[in-house]
Amino acid sequence: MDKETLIAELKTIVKPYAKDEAALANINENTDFINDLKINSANLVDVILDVEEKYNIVIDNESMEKMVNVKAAMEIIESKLA
Amino acid sequence: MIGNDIIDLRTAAVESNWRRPNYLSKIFTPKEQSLISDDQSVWWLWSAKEAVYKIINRATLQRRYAPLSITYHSPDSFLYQEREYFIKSELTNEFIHTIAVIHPDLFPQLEVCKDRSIPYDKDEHGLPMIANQPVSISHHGRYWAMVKQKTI
Repeated sequence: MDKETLIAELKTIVKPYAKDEAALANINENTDFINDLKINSANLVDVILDVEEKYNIVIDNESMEKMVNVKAAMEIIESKLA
Repeated sequence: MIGNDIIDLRTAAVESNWRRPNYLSKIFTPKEQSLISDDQSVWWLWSAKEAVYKIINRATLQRRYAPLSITYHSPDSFLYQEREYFIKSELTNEFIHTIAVIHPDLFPQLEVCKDRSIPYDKDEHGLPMIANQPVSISHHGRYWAMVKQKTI
């Protein structure tokens, strides 16, 4: 899967939880879920569960720790799908 | 070191569905899950973990989304890496506000400010300060709270 496709899919996943519309519109590898998209920390669990469901993967605690930005999410998804 | 976390229970009810499958097990230990009976118990546990995380984050300057690493120890304290962090919570039907400190003797020295017009500075990491003292700010839904050292 190419990076643009993955970012577009992540954008769809985070959309219901993102409170910063402008940051969501400009989502890229450097976007931070909490600081940029203003996703509530309790909703970050939903993002993780949605990612697990969409890609049929399990995000263990070690991976979950890092899942605070788009780049980390992409790396985790790519490594689990590999 | 101070951390605080405020949760608007109405906002939480709209934004979060903690009954979603696997939700609770991602953030709460089996012991913590056994304490959960309703919205208030979920968000009390969460506010305590968040308040303690703010202390750790400020001390280490590291981002870690690891709610399972901060665990319930007693109604007054949580553990992180075998160290005890002390908490005090204000629970109402509308909101939950939890303050965390590294030693319970610090509680009497603290005050809560709910006036969001209070001026404050930011340190080089963007963390809030007043008169060179770290303060902790939390906001959610209708609520905003700052916890700071009392001015003598």
